[in-house]
Amino acid sequence: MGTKLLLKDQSIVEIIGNPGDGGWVQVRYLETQADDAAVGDEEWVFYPDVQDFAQEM
Amino acid sequence: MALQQDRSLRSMVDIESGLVSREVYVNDEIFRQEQEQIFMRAWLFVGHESMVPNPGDFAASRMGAEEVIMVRDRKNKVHVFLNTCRHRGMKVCRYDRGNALVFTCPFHAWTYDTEGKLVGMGHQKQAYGPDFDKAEWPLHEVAQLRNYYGSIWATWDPKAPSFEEYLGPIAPSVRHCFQSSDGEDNGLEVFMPIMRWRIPTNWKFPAFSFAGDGTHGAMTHLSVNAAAVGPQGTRGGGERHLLRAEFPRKSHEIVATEYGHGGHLAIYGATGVPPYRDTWDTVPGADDYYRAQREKKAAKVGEHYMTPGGHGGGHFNIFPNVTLDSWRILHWHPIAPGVTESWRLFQVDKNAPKEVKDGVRHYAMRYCEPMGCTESDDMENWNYAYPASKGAVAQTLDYPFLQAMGQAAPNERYPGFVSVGHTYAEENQRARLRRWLEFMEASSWDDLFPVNK
Repeated sequence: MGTKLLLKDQSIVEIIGNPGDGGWVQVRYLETQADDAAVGDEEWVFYPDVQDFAQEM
Repeated sequence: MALQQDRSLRSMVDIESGLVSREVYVNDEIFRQEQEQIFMRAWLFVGHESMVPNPGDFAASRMGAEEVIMVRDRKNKVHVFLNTCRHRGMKVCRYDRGNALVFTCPFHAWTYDTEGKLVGMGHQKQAYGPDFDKAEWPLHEVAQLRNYYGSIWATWDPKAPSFEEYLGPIAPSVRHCFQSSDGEDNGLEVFMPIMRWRIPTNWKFPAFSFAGDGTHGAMTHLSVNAAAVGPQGTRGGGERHLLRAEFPRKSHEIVATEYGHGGHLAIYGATGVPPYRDTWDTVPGADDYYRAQREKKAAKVGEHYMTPGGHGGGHFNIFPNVTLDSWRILHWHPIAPGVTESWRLFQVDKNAPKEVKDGVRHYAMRYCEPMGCTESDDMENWNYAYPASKGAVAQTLDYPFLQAMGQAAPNERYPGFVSVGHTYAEENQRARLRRWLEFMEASSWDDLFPVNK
C-alpha cells in the first residue's frame, strides 16, 4: 500500500488496495490532468494502463 | 425426453389418491420447468453468516441449478450474487471460499467489488468510451435476502412474500434450529469447509423424503442399527446417538403444512426441559458443558413447551430443498434430472470450547457424509431408484404415497400444523408434492400466496 504509480495518461496515483490477482490495483489520484478523474478520486486501474512506478518527488 | 403430450402435471400428481407418476422424478422437461417455476420463485437456503464472518469473505453456494456467491461486503452487509460475469457469462469466482477485494472475470477483466458494483473492465476507455455507465452492469443480485437468526435465505422473485410469511407456522421451529444449546438466538456457527458430494439421483428423492420417511429406517439402516449408532439406535440399551438421547419426554410426529414445509418433528409431551443425560463419554468436558447449557435453557423455557422441531432427533424440510435439524443442515441441489449435489453443514454452539467443537465435528464426520454410518445407506436407495424408474416401462408406473392416508388431523397445540401422531406416514411428502404442483402450475406469486386460496 502507498506505492505511487505513473499511469499512461500521466496521472500519479497511490495504491490503496491490491487484490493480488496481478491485474488490478485500487488507487487514489494524487495528480491528474485527465478529463475523467480528479485528485482524491478512488478508482480501480488495470495493469496495461500503468506506465511505471512514479519517481519520488 | 419430451413431456407426454396427453398428460398434464395435475394428472401426474394425484394427491387425493396418493399416486404420483414416476415421470415427475425422471423427466428432463419437468426438471427444466422446476428451475423456472420453483427455484426462481421460492425462498431458498443459501448458507450461514458464520461462513462469511469478516468483510470481504465469500462462500460459494447454489440456488437451484445455478451457482451463487455469498459475500460480506466491506460495510459488513451480506449479499448473494449469481456467479456469472455480466459481459460473457464467465464465472467471476472459481473458489469455494475466501476473502476478496474484488471479483475479476478472467475472460475480459470485468471486475466487481464486494457490493457487486462493476468497478472496471479491461481497456475501458478505448473500448467503451467516456459515456459507458458501469452502474448499469452490476453482478446480478437476489431480489430479496433475509438473515434469519444467522441463517441466510434468498429469492430471485421480488414479488415473493416475506421470508416469515413463506415459512408460515413452521417459522418458530426454524428459529429454534439456529439457537445454541442454552436457547440463545443465533447461537450457532457452521464448521468449515462444508461437505459436498454428488449423487446420481433426482433431487426430489432426498429432498422430499428425508424428513419424514419413517418406514425406511428399520431396513435401510439395519446394519448401523445393529451397531447401536444409527437413527433407531436402541439395541440392548446401547444408545449412543448423542442427540436422540437428549429429550426423552417427546414423541416424533409427521407434521405437514399447507406451505409444503414439514417433516418428522419432535413434539414435546411435557413442559420445560428434561434433565440432561450424559452422552459424550468419549469427549472430556462435553457433558459438563452441555449440562450447564441445559440448565440455562431450562431457565428460558420455564413451564412452556419446547418448540417442536429439530432437537431430540427431529428434522424437517423447508420447501423446496433443505432439511433442518438442531445440528445439521442437509441441502439438496438439483444439478440435472439425475444428478443431485448433496451438501452438509454442521452447526455447533459458537461459544462452545474447542474440545466440544472438535467432539461434535468428529461425531458429524462419523455419522454423516458418504463414508459415514448412515448417509451411505440412504444414498444406495436413492441412487438405484432413479435409474430403475427411468426406463420407458418403469415410467408408466406410479409411486404410491399411501401411508397414513386420512389419519392427519389439525394439531391442537400448534395452529397450521396437521399431524399424524406417529412417524409411519407420508403426510408430509404428500404436502410437499401438493405444494410442488401449485408452484409448477402457478403463473406468479399471486397464485401461491396466501396459501390454499
